[in-house]
Amino acid sequence: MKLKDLKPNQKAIIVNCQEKPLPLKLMEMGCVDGVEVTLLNKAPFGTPLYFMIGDTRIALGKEIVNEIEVEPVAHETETKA
Amino acid sequence: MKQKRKLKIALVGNPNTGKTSLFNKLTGLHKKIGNYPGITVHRVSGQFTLDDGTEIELIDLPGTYSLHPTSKDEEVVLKELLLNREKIDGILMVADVNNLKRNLILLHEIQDLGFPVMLAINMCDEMQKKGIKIDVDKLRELLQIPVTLVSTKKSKADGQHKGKGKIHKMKEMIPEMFKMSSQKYFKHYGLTGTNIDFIKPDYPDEPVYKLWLLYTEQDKFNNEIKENYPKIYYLPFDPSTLKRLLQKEVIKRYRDINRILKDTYYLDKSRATGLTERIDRVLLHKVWGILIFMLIMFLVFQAIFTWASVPMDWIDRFFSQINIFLKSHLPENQLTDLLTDGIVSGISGVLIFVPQITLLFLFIALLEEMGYMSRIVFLMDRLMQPFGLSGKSVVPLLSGTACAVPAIMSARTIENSKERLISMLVTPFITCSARLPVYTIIIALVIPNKEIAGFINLQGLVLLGLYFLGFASALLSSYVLSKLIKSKYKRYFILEMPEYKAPIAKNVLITVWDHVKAFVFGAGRIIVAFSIILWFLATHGPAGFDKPSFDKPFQLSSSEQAAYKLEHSYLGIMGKSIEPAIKPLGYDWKIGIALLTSFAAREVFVSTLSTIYSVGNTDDDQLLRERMATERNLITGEKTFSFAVGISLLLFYVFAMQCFSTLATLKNETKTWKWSVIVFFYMTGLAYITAFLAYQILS
Repeated sequence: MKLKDLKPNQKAIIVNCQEKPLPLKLMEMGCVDGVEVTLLNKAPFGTPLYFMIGDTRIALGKEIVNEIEVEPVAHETETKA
Repeated sequence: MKQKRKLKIALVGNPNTGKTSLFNKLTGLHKKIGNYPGITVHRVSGQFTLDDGTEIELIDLPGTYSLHPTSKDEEVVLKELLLNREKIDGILMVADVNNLKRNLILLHEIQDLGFPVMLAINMCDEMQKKGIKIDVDKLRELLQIPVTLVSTKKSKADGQHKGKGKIHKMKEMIPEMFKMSSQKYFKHYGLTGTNIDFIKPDYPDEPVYKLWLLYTEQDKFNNEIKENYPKIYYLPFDPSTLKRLLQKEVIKRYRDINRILKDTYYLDKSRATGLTERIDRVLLHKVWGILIFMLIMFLVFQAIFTWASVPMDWIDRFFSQINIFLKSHLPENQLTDLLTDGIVSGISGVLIFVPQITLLFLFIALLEEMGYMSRIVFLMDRLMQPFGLSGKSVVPLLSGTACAVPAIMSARTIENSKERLISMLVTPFITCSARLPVYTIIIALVIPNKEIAGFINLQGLVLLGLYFLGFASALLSSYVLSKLIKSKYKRYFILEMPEYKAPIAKNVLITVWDHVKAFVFGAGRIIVAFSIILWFLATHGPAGFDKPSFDKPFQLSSSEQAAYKLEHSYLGIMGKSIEPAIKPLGYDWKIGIALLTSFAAREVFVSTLSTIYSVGNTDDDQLLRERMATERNLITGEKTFSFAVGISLLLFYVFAMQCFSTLATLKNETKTWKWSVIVFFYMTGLAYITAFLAYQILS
């Protein structure tokens, strides 16, 4: 699924952000494959979306959340953490 | 005695790390604000002295996450570090203890450039609460640079002393960075391939990472590379291969950083409070978040509209008292007039803005300190982005309804220089409070005071329409400007949301003081000069301008004398000479004079008309309105203020750049007259065309 399809408070793992034509800044801010991401808020007018990525709180625009692929984390792991 | 020497140290760090707080702590109020050549990015520097007498000039570079810029502001950091190398002796890197991992990316890049560097880990006061432990000695050993913990926050419990002690300790540690040979990482990554290896022998003294950055970021400085690094310029350049290499670089850097932090940084995750996330659930809520935002904006609005008017009245009265005093104690001559009506009135015209600037920046600094400004961007981006503006542009645009001067200054908080520039350029379109007296009198004159549909007042509706026109033209212009002003950076919305924090009073006060100072001594000087020129033109003229000709058989009243003087002054002559130009808009020379004088402030239009029509008491609109209503064109015999003229004048004032304080502020903020000139001709041209069309169609 895409990053934009996450539901509030849903956790997921970033899977393919390196292959996409995304700015290097994203990676520098810690948004790399394998990092856990949680959707915290959606802006009142749809985008941007506000995430916890690794240990950074970061808001991302439409052109980015449409690109990044994520793998939802199953419920068991969520409770374990 | 030890020899005194001056060191230039650049202050570098990610945004939201308390970099500016640290800068303020170190340099206090002694700072110089300039501009980087050709762009609207401020260059801030300050001074302090070490215990051994070493003087240090600290240069506050814009906040950035890495040396791969994504905006003009971040480009400044790259350029300073690559091209002005010999001017920087060392680097003080500030990092946030909560995000140390990400902060070290930038540190590693700087280390690879071969700079002497030290690391100050800020916000150490929060460590215990958050369950963070750092082995500083080990970190120092691994990074091979001086490392220290600091806190720019004064905590009440252990008082000023402790915080100051840490800052002082950090200051005294600065010379140590020159004794250590900092760790390097890049050369082990094996990313440069044959290209850089091939040219390296030509630049034996340059660190390989510098050549790498020059090569990978060459589109940011083509000329410098062509001239000084021709070999790099002619290397083959394949963007997609390079991007993969740059991504590999980030991954390898994170691997190194993880290795370093594994043995030095401990985080007890169970201590995480999630407080910021919980506050955000309310403040960014679809309904509550917007309501709270509107409430805050209303408060700001209220402050600069209503609260500021009280001290503004004091300033106004204080200076008129001074003028009365001076006039009664000094001989009646030219020099006294220059001092009172020229200089003192000019200074009063500058200081009158101080309450609005103070209050507006008090709010902005508080919101910025607490972390709310980033939330404004988050809430408003979707609305403003189609017009090429930042979410933060809401603040200058709303403040502009009070006055464009503080509003333009408030655009400083916008990080992206293109969005900042556009916000400043379109803010003067917003209907400010100085336009209101002009609107009121003309609407009262040409719009019938009747209700439509039984309850909507027509005059009120027209006034609302004028406000709307102002907003619409600001947004439309910014749309056009965003297409015209080219940027090589594609706009991506990536915004870190800082943690909510209690504001530090000292930081707030310093921000307010910086802005008041910048206005009074920057724009203020230009405003005083302008008002003296305007005063001179309105009170001087060719010989005999102040003596009514002899064919007047009876004595003139004092208000008639004033009217005569203004009409025959240089300004009056100018007003008459522009008559041919403004005739197509429906104006006569009397309106022409009022247009010229209202450059001082738009509301002066009303008082000038009072003088010209020798109504006398300018506080009474009623008299002036009656006089204006009876005024007729001598040739055609038609009303001077007909419906067509009235609408034409209203439209002219919606668009025209009739305020030199705004132009002076714009010049002071952009450090060039270029934008003031462009805005002046653009707005006045637009005003002329719409007023022309309106008059020609309606008359």
